[in-house]
Amino acid sequence: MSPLDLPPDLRSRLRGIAIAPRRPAMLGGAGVHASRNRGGGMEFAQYRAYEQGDEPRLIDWKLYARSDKFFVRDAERESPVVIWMVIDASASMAQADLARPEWSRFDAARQLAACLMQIALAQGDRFGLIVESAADPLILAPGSGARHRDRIALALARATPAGAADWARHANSLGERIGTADVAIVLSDGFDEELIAMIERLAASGRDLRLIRILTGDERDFPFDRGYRFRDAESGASLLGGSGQRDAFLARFAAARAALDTRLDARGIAHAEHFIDGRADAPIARIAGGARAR
Amino acid sequence: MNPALLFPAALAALAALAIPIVIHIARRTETRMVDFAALRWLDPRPQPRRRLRIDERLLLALRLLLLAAVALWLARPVFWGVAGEARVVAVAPGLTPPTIAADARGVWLAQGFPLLESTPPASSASITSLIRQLDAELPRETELELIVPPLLDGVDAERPRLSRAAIWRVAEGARPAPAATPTPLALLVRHDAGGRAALRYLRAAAIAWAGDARPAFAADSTDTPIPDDTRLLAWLAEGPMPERVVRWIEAGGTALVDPRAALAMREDARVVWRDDESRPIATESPLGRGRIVRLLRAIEPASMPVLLEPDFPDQLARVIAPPPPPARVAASEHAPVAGLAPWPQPPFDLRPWLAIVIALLFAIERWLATSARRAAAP
Repeated sequence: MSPLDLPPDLRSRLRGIAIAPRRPAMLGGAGVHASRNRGGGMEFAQYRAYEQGDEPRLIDWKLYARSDKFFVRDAERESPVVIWMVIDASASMAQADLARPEWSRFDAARQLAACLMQIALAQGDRFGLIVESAADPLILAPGSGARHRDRIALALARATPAGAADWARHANSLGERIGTADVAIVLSDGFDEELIAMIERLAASGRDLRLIRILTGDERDFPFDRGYRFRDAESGASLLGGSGQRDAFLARFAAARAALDTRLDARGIAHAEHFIDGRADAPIARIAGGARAR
Repeated sequence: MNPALLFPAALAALAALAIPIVIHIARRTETRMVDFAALRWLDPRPQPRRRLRIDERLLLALRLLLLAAVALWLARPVFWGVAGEARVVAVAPGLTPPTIAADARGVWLAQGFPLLESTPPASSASITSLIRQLDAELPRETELELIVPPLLDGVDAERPRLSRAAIWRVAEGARPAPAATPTPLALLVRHDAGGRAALRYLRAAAIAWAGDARPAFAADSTDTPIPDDTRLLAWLAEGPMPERVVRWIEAGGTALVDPRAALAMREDARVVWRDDESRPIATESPLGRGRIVRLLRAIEPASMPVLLEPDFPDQLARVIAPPPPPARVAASEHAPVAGLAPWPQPPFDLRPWLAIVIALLFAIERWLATSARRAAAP
């Protein structure tokens, strides 16, 4: 199953979720954010030539009658909110569970991204993508509509996690991209101290950053019964271990997670944990900041 | 019942028990590499696990058992002194089998000792020999009952000696008809001119053998071929014997040879006929399946006074056609006597049973080792 194809039950649960900006005061005078395709923001921008894929109802038929050419009224809607999806594509995201080796942390991140796009589409917000990997970050500028979703889905489908992301290096460029009115949702395992530091820095500068920490089921259950050599794909370090380490690891890992929770809470950063064998809508609902009024 | 090993050195094969143990232990050191990003929260010095960890103990136990069974099989395990059946009733072929008690085994006194339920086999072996074999094959405690016809043929001169006091029962049955009166000896003579003088003595002997019947005597020159049904030939000729005559003798004939014949003296020739003064008259030597009786003196009264004796025909007949030794006895007079040392019984071989156990163990081992429930196979 591709992580970008959302199963119907997940789709229906996502319909109840809306992503609200933390500061509604930052909205322009366009009214309530939750309103869709109504009010301001819909103003004529330009005519442009018809491209394949444009919806026929967008064609200006009167202009067609005059010019015998298809023109589309490019009604650029100035949605006040951009939902940024910042995806960690470092090598640790390739980790998968023993029980389900074909479903990696990165697949879970892509599924979450697909869910976020679904929500953004539903509420008419623009959305953009930043994939942070060892190479230069892949940035898809904000846009809206189903075609933009497909473009992002294509980029996501091609991306593969590798190497170690250098968050500190790109922190400034990310800060430039993400506006103060935007919502940036970071999808990462959260093990990288530089990532947390960058999030704190951006949050301190007034950006609305939210973090979904994607953890594997193995990190929760530690089901390693025999001898294993554990390897950190980013640093290359490895360690022999097995079932004897289970209790100590679970205790230390829980403590580390709790410490990170406290740290993020102190900075006002909304955060949630998502286990890759769990439901994708639950962490989104926790960081969404509001449920849509039906 | 004493268990024993006939080849205990094969127990060295038990060293192979180390192989499955090593296989099942060595798996522990083989570790799987797994990506684990939360490495920093893992204890870098894991507490030592049990020094020896054995995977899949049931399978290991089965494999050890299998190897031990194979080693035991190689060591040839036996049981000494396995108790046999309580009683064996052996019936000579040709008799009506009696009803046998439930705890007894009834066999025919024939080769292979088939059970009484089978059809009585045609037996050609000597009954005494069969009785001795049966006695030797039975354990010491087994009672042996022998049921024989009233007349026994082909017996030895001595009563059979067995290792146990066998019960000897003579069945009531028809005595076999007495043998028909033997036909008189037929003598064929081949002679040259020099041998003609001896013909009268041989003819006289043939007439004496025939008694009142017509004597079977024929004489001819050496060129005449020998009829196929001839049993006795008198060769009265000078010089070497023709090849066809030698072949006839080798095919099973008996030849009485004149001393004038050129015949190589054989080492194994033995004197079979002496005169009153104990001087040799004739020697006998085998040739092929037949035999040659060679006269050492010329057939004339001067050198062989026995020619004129009244019992010359009998003496000649005894030499060239000796009567068979007596081999028939009344069964009641031929009961076996006990007193022979018991024959050591072969031990009961456990290997066929062990082979079945090994095959069973192997099947179970394969079934366990290849069952789908197992994840990784050592």
